[in-house]
Amino acid sequence: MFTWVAQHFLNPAFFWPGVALVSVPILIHLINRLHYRKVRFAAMEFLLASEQKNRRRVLLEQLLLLLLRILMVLLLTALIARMVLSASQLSLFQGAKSHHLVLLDDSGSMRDRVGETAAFDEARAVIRKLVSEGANRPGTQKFTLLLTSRPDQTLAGLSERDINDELVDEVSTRLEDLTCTHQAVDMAAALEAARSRLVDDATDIKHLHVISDFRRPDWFDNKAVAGALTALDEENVSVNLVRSVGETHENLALVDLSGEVEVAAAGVPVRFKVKVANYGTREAEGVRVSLAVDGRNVPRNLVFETIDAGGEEEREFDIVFDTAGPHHVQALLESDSLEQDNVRHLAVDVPNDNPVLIIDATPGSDQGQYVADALAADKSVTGYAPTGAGLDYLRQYPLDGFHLIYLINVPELPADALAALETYVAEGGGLAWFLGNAVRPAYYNDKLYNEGAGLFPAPLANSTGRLERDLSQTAGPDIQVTDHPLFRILAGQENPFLDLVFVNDYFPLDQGWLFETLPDSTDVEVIARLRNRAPLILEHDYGQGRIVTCLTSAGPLQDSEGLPWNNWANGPAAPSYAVFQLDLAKYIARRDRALPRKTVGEPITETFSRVLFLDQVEFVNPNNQVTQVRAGTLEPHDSEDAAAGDEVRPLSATFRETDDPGVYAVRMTTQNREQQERWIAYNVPASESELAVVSDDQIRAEAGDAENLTIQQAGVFDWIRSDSPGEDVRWLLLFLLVLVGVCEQALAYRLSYHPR
Amino acid sequence: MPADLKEYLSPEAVARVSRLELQARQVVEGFLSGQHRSPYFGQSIEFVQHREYVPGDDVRRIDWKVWSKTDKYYIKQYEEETNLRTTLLVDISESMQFGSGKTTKYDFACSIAAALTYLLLRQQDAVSLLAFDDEVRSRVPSRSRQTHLGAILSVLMQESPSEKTDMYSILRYTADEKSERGMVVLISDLFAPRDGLFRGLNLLRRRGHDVLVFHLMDDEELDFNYSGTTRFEGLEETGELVCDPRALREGYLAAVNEFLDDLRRRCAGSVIDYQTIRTSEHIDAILRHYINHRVGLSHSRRN
Repeated sequence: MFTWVAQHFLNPAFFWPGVALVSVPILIHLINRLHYRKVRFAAMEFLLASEQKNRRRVLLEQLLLLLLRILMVLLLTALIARMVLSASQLSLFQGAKSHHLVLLDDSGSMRDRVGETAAFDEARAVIRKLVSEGANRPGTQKFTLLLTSRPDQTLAGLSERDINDELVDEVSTRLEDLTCTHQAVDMAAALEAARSRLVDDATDIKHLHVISDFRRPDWFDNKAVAGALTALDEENVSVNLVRSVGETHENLALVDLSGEVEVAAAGVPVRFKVKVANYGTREAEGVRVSLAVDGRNVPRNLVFETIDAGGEEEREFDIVFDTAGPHHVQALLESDSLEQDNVRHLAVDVPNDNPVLIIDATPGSDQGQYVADALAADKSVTGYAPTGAGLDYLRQYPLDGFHLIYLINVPELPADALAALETYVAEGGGLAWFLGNAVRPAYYNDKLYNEGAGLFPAPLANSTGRLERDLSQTAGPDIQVTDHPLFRILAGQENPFLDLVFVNDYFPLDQGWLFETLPDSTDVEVIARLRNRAPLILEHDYGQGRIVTCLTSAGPLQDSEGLPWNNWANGPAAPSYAVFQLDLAKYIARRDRALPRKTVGEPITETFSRVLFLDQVEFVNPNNQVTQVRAGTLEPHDSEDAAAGDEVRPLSATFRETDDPGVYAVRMTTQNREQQERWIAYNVPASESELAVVSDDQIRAEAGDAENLTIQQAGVFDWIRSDSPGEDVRWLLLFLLVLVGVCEQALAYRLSYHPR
Repeated sequence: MPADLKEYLSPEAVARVSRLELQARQVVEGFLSGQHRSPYFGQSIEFVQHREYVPGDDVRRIDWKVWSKTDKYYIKQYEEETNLRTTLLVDISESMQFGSGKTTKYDFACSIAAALTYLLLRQQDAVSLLAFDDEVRSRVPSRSRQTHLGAILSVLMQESPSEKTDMYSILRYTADEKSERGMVVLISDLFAPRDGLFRGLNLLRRRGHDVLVFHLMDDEELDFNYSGTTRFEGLEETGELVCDPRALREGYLAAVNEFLDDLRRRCAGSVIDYQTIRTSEHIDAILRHYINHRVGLSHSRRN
């Protein structure tokens, strides 16, 4: 009730005394009834008759008169206390002492251009108006500004400040310095933070002004936001949603730029993929995406003829990097209302070539050579640098530098080689198994399969299998592939190469595993089968790495009967063999070496050993501003780490100013004073590109039956600057007062005696 | 009737009596002087008709002029063989005690009675008086001496009004007692059961009496100009009421007017001379009105 009074009267202090005054006419009435004079009267008969007849009318008239007088007092009270019809009419800065908490949306979508200015500028203008209007009544209003990107932090000096002229100047300057981020924000968390601030506040009236563009992704069907709004309503906070954008703008956004950068090499075409989303309401036609490498435009554009409203289109393109080293790839869209999502960055570290290790254990054979030839018949074309070696290589040299390792017809692995290999794959290395006549199923099942914990995906049957071939009838191709990236080129009706592959010998899988474990397995996937439905190629993950297992030989290995295990590498389908091997290499090549892609706002944390690097780290932002950070010792997470000495504890440096999209560089200096630089591409979140504005009705539906919710339209400032709030009501009240006064007088005249 | 007036009358009462007498005299003499030439005055003993003489009639009444022309004995008959007998019935019930101004209705009734008495005595008429409420409280027998005024006034003075009013029994008592025809003047506020009142009045009429009703009403009773919350306490045990009189005024006036209209109508129906008298009116104007009216009425009746 008190809140209601405070919200409906400009001078609420007058309200309760006014209500008390209502008792005056009642008291006068009662006193009149108590104080009477006595008359001894003779003609009582007629008086009593009259009383009998008029009792009801007199009572009604008296009550009506009393009511009119009470109404007059109430109207007078409402006039003096300056009533307004609804809380929304009440100018924000009139009424009781109140706290205005402004929650300014500084998410990326606020960079949306509205006419000449951006939505964020509009929002700033709203705050300026709000503060300067509030300064007209100094001493009664408090102001706090929160940003949705950091709702838990207040801006220094703008927390619970009295609104006065000094603050107006300060806010004006501070707002100039505020910039809109490129990030997505958690609106529910921001509302919750605002609520927790207001709950602790002792002020009578709490206003929360949310100045935002109210995009659908943030506000529509968002249970967390709905919950936050309801919670605010329960705390009696009047929530004022101020739109800074009136309508949905058409927007095209580059939502993805990626490529097979893990196998990029200098001089070799690298396949990239760009995805354009149309967040508008109309079909986009003739969308051009231009490309740039290291700031220089590539002389070709990608043209999307049409992109449906709400749809996405993808294009692939190749780029050849002439030199090794880090490169900055940019895709650029034509300008539209939201600028930030028209460009997408990708940092690619291009090596001269990609080393591949091929371990071939076939005695006196050249199985590995087929693979090596397939991968790098000409190194400058494929970019792979295969190294053929025996089993001992695994024990003697570090495997870390290889992108992927082939294990061909390996009978068994020495224990230390197995350990090194396991570490390599677990850290992200790629591994491909090819079997052959040297394979010893018992060892494979025991050490390599190891109940599902090893590098081999499945237990093998004890002996090889033979795929019988009846030449008299056609039973379809030997290899049946699934819809898998590996067979992206080979699969399909129009490509006959795979149909020409003959497989004679293979290792069948253990029947028990095949029928019991495989159907339930989520780790192992069969990506190709033989004609008889026996699995031929399997894929599974081990740690960070990816393993592909082929249950037949890599090359035309002869079996005991003189038949080749298969004829893929040298038969009529040989051209597809190279394609398969190259795709396999791309598929399993280690990804952890590719330069990271991040979303703006994520901090860069560089952790490194102090043995190798100096603790001075430089971060270079896209505008080439260099920030030097001294790395600190990483605090141990548990006692085990703590037990380790300071000498081995790694250093860590963190850089948080990553709001601008683009390529950031991290420069570290080795103990030998050599500089190492690593690039990181930052892009804006795709969610901020959706500019669809949520409607008032949707917000209200979201907020449920929140009573204290008001929504202000973009470009409308009446709610701030109501010079004389409730003026219409005032005239109405005045008119009513006169009317009631006239009625009261008329009635009183009628009820009283007037000698003629 | 008390032997010694002074024993019962306080000096104020005596003063009032004398004032009344003086007032009555002033009123009536002023009236007489104004009406001196009236051809109708004093004609209450006037010739009515001739009737054949029968043995036992007073021979002095024989009209010898008729005998000389017709050789038959006729006697002259007159309207009234004796002086006019007037009976004043004064209501002294509690309700008569009401008066908004200086005078109560009772005072006014006394004034009227005194004036009438004086007037009638001056004409040698006999006047008797009956003071009553629900029964006869006191009475003064019929006399026509000038000194009779004092007797009547002293009775009026000592009667203090009380109790309720029972008109019928009083009127019937009067009718029974006054066997000779005469004039009965009822001075009252008539706050009594109307049916009884008219039964009594009609009885008097049937017995051949001229009946005059002086209906005394106070200004406040007629106009009801009270304002402000008032507690009305009824005289004669008629109850009490706290009210805003303004609110009830209209209804009250309607009821009073209905009462007066009813009285007028029923009086006219019974050929009773009825007059509503405001206690604020001048007494001589009332008397003048009364006399004029009376003469007219009597005259018309005899034709």
